[in-house]
Amino acid sequence: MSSAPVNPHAEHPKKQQHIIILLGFLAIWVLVGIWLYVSNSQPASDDVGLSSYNSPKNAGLTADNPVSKILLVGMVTTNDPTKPFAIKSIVQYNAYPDNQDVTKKQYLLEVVEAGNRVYASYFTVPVVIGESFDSDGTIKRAESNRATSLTFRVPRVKDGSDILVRNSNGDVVFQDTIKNVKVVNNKPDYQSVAGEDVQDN
Amino acid sequence: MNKAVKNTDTTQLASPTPFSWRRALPIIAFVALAGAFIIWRSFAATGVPYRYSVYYCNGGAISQVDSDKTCAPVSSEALAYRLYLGGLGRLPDKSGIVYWRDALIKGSTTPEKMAQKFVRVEPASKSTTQLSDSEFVTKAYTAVLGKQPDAAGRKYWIDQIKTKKKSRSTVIAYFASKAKISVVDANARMAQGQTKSGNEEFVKALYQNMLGRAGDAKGVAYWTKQLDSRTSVPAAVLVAFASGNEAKTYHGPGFATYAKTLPKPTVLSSTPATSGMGTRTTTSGPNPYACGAPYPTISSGTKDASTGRTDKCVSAVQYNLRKANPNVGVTGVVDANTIAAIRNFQTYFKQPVTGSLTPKQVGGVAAVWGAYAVSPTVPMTATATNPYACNAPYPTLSSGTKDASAGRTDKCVSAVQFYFKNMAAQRDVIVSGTIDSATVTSIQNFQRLFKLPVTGTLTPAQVENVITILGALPNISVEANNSGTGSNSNPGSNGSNAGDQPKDPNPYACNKPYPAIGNGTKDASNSRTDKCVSAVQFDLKKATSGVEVNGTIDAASVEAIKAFQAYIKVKATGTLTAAQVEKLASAYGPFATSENEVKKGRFNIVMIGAGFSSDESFKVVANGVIRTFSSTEPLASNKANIAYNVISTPDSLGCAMGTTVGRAAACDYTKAAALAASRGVPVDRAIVIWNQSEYGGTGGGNYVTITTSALPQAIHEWGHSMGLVDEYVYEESSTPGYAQYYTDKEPNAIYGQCAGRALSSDWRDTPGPWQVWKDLSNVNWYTGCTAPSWSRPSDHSIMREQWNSFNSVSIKVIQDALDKEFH
Repeated sequence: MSSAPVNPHAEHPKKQQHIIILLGFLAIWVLVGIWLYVSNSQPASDDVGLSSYNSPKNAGLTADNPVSKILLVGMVTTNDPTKPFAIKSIVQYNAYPDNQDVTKKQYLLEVVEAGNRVYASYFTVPVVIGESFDSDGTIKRAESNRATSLTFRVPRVKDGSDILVRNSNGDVVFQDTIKNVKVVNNKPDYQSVAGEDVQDN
Repeated sequence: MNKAVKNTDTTQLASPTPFSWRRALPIIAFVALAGAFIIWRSFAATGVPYRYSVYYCNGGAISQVDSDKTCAPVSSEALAYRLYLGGLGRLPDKSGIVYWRDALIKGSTTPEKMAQKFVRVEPASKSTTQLSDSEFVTKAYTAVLGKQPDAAGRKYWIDQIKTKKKSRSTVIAYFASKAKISVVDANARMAQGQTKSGNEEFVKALYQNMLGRAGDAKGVAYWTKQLDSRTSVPAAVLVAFASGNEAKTYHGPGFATYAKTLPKPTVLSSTPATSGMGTRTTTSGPNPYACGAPYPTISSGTKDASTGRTDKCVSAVQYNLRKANPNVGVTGVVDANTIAAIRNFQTYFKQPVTGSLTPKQVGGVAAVWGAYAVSPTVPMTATATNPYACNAPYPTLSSGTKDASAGRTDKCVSAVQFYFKNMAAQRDVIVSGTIDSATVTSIQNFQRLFKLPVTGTLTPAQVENVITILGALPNISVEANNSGTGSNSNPGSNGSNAGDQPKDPNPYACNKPYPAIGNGTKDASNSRTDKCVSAVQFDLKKATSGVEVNGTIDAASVEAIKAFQAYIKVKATGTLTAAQVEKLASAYGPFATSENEVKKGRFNIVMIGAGFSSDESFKVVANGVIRTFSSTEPLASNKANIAYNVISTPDSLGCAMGTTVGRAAACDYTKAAALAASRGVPVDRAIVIWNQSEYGGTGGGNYVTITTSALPQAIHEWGHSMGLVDEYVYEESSTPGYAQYYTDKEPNAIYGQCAGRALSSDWRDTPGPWQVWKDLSNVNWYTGCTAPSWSRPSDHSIMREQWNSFNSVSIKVIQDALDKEFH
């Protein structure tokens, strides 16, 4: 009867090892979770994340569309179908001309200098939609009106150049001469933030 | 006993588990195997003998002259090319040459193994004595009796020979008697073909294909004997020929010529090789399809006469692309082949490889392959005719040349300037009659575009080219100021570029002292505030099309760095030292600095505060709107191309609540535009935020209004400015404008965002603009979109309610609009 004694705790070391390993594993994941929370938590201040506002030359400036002398042409619509537009004002600024729009074909704006077309852009007279919003997020239309004033940024052309509007058939429906240009010698003065520097909600 | 057990437990817990070979062995074996695998892979990746490729010859750092003399003849791609010629007797196809080149580079095959796949030579006929018993009987039947042996007869004669009851000569004699011919004739028939082996033909063909000459008798006999006697095998002979200096010399220049048509691969990269522009075919003749300026954006799915156009720009572009990409069909719809061709075009001209053509690039396609027909529906000014005379023989035009100089009476300078300005969108050119710096720049652009030496001086022949080519064009916009429009803009490869200032300046700031940059390095790492990784990637991209400017050195960037290091003859580690970063800037163009950093082509969204005491106080309000915009698709995916600009004024900018119902807050956009212009801010879209406690807003044009009480709806109004319509239902038909809105708005919604009709479950089979929906995710038809009976593509969307995302159709509409203005 000299059989080896039965050890009732023979499995305890393994169990304790497993528990230690499990606790260690959980501890690591807790640390990872804390790290992820901290690194992804929202900024405390509303300004954080947009603190990288730059001077104009550091964001928003278009290298292929540099600041230059432009004309801000203010136009209004009329009720005269034979001449549906009229120039309201023309002011020269140091800014950027509008990108030429090729998608809206209601009208085509052209600027012609010394016989050369230097700018052309399609545009439409927008319908402005007034909307109201309930507190639950429901949107309701309040009213809509066709816009009566339009502005265009076109390259600075010489006085005496022509500005034309063609309809969708290519017919000239408006033509006037650029004159009486008011000059504003402004400098770029705005703040800008690059898209990638914006910390999302 | 219990106490003893307890002590044992304590010991086990307190001390490490005793070492056991039985437990450790599997771990040791695993580690050893893993280590061996890693070491093997390292050697496999770096130790293969054929590390050179045409990439280094024509796509990378070595000049064309060097490639002809040294690189191509020893490169793996050149070897694969020769094996194709020698083994298959034909030029390789592009996919084939890329496959075998990469296999050789990676060491996954050898020239010998490769040759075995290529050799198609019949083995030499054996002499009768070399045939097995079975082969001998079969040949006796076929050669002497002229028929195939039946199974029983074949077995019988094999048994007769094997048991030595009958010799082979006895068998031949018997077959001769059965064939009623002499034994001599029977033996002759058995011997037929065994001396005139295919081996000799194979060797002669090798001489011709590999060396470009007929084989001398001695050489042909030698190699034929090697094959006939089985001293060598055809694959080995092919490799011997292909690897010899005579073959390298003979095929070197030929290979270099051929290689120009090949893809420019990214060596040792899993990235699919991008294609070059392709070989220009002989397709000629004027483009019969009309496409007038301003050109549209052309992307996947774009059709002729889409977006309200009446011309056929897709067909016109396809007709031109087909000249270099024969797979492109003139279908009028941008399909996969067209996209592939567009990508080729963009790769070739070092444009962002998007698969979509910007309007400028559509003009570029015309400039490269021929003008489109002029659409009669697109108005053209009557001033397209050049008013300046320039008669043959044409003069040389260089800096300072003036009209009527050198005894001429015409105005060639003005004529050329007119064409540059009006036909090639060289807007900086002034028709002054004197070749000034702007004109020289345009001359250089013209020369780059047509792959002429970039001298800035027009030869008489080039003057004629300008007049002939540009004079035939409609008023187009070619890619101006784009250096390196040829296939190779690497240092040293284009001598005429050496002294040029880069026309595509690096927009990313990287200040001295430069950092070391290697795998995994990111912008703004190591406490830097500049973007050296992006700056480096921007420069690397000029030589390696696979590189993306993403701010992190990834695998493609590492390979490009290695290529650059190979070019400057330093160890190709894949990590740039600070000194090498500086060399890169010298070679491909200087980086911007934080002082002069310029962001290019961003879409400018301007927040205009009305009724705010200062920009700083307005920023607190604008920041929340900006963050909402920035986190909403598709703006979230286009961050690198967007800028948010902020200005404000204490003035109310004429803002007022609606005159009819109220809440329809709207500002005077003429005043807002004047403010923006006076502050010099670029505007693509503007949100006027009115400091107003009432709830309201309006949208429609490029400027929209929202009150500070309704800021969450700003993005809805902005959606209007991007071309989206409302997806909620206008319930009050008595609302002013209701009837007008129903009749002329929704049916024109882009991609049928508001379908303008009631769709049903079979909408996928119903023709209409909503067919685009099929290619988008999470789209189906839902009833109610402005009108109660019209259909929308999703249940929820920002254009329907206060929601956190646009639906897929809206995202596509916005993305298209962004793409149009990114260029």
